[in-house]
Amino acid sequence: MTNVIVKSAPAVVQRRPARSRRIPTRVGWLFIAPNLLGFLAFTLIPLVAGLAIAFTDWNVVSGLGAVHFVGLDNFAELLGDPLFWTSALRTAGYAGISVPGTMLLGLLLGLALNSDVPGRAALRAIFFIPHIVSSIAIGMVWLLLLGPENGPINRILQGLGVSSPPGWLVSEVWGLPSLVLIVTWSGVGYCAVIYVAALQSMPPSLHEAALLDGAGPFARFRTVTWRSLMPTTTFLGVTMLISHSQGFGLIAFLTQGGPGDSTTVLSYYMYEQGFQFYRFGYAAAIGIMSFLGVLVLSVVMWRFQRGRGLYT
Amino acid sequence: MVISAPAARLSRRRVLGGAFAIAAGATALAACDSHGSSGSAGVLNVWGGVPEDSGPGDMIAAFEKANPGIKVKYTRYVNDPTGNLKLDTALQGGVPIDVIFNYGPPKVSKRVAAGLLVDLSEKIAAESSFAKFAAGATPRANYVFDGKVYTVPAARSPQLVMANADLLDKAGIEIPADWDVEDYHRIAKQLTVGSVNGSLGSPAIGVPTLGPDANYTKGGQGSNFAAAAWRKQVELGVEMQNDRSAVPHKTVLAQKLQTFAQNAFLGGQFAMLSTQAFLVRYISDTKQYPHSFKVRAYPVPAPVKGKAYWNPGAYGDLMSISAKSSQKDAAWTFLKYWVTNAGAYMIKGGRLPSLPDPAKKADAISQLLGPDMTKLYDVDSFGAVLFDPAIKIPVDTIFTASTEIADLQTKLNDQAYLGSISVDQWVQRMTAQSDAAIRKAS
Repeated sequence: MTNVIVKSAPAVVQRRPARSRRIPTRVGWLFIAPNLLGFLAFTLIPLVAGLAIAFTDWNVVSGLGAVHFVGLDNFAELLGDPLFWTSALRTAGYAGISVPGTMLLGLLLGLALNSDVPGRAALRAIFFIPHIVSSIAIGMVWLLLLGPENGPINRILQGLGVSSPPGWLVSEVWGLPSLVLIVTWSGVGYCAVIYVAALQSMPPSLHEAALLDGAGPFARFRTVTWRSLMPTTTFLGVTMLISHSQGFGLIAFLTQGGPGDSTTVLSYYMYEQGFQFYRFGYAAAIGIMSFLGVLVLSVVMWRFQRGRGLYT
Repeated sequence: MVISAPAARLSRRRVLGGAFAIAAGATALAACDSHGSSGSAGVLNVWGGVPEDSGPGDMIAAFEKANPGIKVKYTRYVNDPTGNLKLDTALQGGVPIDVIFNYGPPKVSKRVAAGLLVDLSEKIAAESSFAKFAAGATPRANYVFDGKVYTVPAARSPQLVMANADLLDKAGIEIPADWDVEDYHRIAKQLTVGSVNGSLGSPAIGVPTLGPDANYTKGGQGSNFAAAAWRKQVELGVEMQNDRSAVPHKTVLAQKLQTFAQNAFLGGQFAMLSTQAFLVRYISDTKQYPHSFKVRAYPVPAPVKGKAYWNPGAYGDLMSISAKSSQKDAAWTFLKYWVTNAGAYMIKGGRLPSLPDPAKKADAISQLLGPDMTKLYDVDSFGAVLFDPAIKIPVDTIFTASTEIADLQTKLNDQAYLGSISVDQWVQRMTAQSDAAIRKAS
C-alpha cells in the first residue's frame, strides 16, 4: 500500500498542478489584458518612441519619410543652448522651493488637523479641495487675485501703504515666485491629508514609551513622529518632485512662459520646441534630460531615507 | 553567426523605423476622431478654423444646392498650436481630408515642404477670375513657393483703426484722413483721461514702412531688425507706455487683451485699437457686449505723413487641397465656389472676401455691420476704410524660422514694454536671436 501510494502520488501531483496552473494563467492574462494593453499603448510604446525620436530631426509635418537619424546632435545642441540651461535652473528653483514648501506646510497642517480640533473631518475635506480642482480653475481664481492693478491682493497691499505693489504673474521678477505660491497652495491640502493618514496609523505605544522615558514634546516629535513619518515624507517628496518638475498646465494657462522667458521651465520649453516650432527630436531630447534629472534626484531621496525611519 | 543574426535583425534603423511606425499609428489614431472617419466617395472633408455658424454652414448649404452630387463635411479645428498639430497629424496619418484652410503663410510653407498640398498653379492660371492669385500677378495677392502656388486666399483682412466715437466727440477730436503715427500718439494722449487709456497699443511702423518680407535681409539669410523702422516702432511703444496713452502692458498681459481686446474696448477701458474687420462680430452682439457708443473706422496711420505705406493686414483663409485627397476635382470645384462666393456668406462673420465685388459694396457693408448698423457704427467710415482702393497689403515670400521670429518678437516686445530691457537691447537681442534662428533653420 505504502509503495503504491508513493508511486502514484508523483503522477497525480504532476498532472494536477500542470492543469490548474494553465487555467489560472490564461484567466489571469485575460484579467490583466485591458490594463496591460493600456500600459503598452499609452505608456511603454510612447516612451520607446520618445526615446527614439530624441535621436532624430523628426518634424511631424514632414512625415516618416523625412526622418533623419542625427545621433547625439540634439543633446549636443542642448548643451550649448542657454535657454535650456536657464529653463533647467528655473525648474530646479520652481520645484526646489515648491516641493519642500508644500510638504512643510502640509506637515504643519496635518499635525493641526490630527489634533482634537472641532470639525476636523470637514476641515480636511476643505483643505483637500484644491487638489481635486482642475488647474485651469485654480489658475482663473489666482489670475483674478493677483491682478496687477485691480486684483484684491494688490489693493490690500496698496491699502497697507505699498505704493507700487508687484506685477505678480506679469512681472519678470515675480512671475516664477507667483507660480510657486500657487502650486504650493494647491498642494498643501493633499500633503496634509496624507500626513494625517500616516499620523493616525502610528502606534500610540511609541509615544507612550517616549513619555515614560521623559521625552518632551519636541524630542517626541523628532525621535518618534518625524522618524515614523519618514516613508510618507519620502513618498510625498518623490511624487511631488515628479509632478512639480513636470508642471505645465498652470504655466501654459497663466504666463505661457513669459513675460519674456521668465517663467519658461523645462516642461514649457519642451512644449514650445515641439508643438510651436515642430522640433520634436529636440523636444524629446529635453524630455529625456528632464527625466534623467528627476530620476537621479528621486533615487537620491529614496536612498537618503533608508534606515532613517522608525519602522521601515 | 547564430549570435550575430538577431543583432543584425534588430538594427538601429529597424528599431527607429518600428518606433516611428508605432508613433505614427498612435498619432493617426489620436487624430481619427468622429469627424474625420468618413471617407466615402462624394463626401468632401473640409477642415477649417471658422465656427460653422459664422458663415461656413450657410456657404456649404449653398454649395451643396448648386452641386447636388457633392456632399461636404466640415470639421472645425482651432487655429492654435494644438489645433494645427491635430490637422498636421491627421494629414500625415491618412485621415481623409480634401480641403484645408491654412491660417498664415508659415503654416502653408511647412505643409508645402512636406508635400502635403496640391500645386494649384495650373488650375489658377486657367481660371480668369483668379488672375490676381497667379504666381506672377502684380500686385502680388497670393503666396508663392518656388514659383508654384498651393493656396487661394478666400479672405482679405486689412488692418483698420476702430475708435469709440463718443470719446472722440467728447474730447472734440477730429481725426484727419491722412494722419500719421505722431498724430495717433498725440490723439491717444488727449483721449487718456482718468482710468481710460487712449489706445490699446501703439501703431505699427515696421511692416507699413518696409512692406513684404519686412523681417528679412539678404534674401532671407539675415534678419532686418536693425532697420530704423523697427527701432521707431519699439520706441513709440515704450513712449506710449510711459505716458500711459496706451493701456499698461502688464494690464494687457494680465487681461489677455491681445486675444480678448473686445471686452475692454466695448467696456470703455480704452478709446482706439488697431484691428481687423472680425471685431464687428462682438460689436454687433450687444447682448453679450452691451455698450451705447458708436464705433468709427479710420485707416491705420502712416509712418510718415503723405508718404505711401503698406497696410499691416494680410490675405487669409488660405484654401488648399490635400495631396492625399482622392477627390481633387470636386475639391477644386468647392474651393472655387467658396472663394467666388465668400462675399455672400462669410462677411457676416467679419471676413471680407478676397474677390470683392465693387458693385455690391453697400450690400457688403450692411452684411458686415448687421441690422443695427446705424445705431452701432459710423457706417460711412467703415465703407471708406475697408474698401479703399489705395490699400496695399504686403505678401511675404520668405518664411525661414518665421514662427520662431514671431515668438521672439512677442517675448522681447513684452520685455521692452514692461521696461526690463531698453530699445537698444531689443534691437541687439532681436537681431542676434533672429539671425541664430534663421541660421538654424537654413
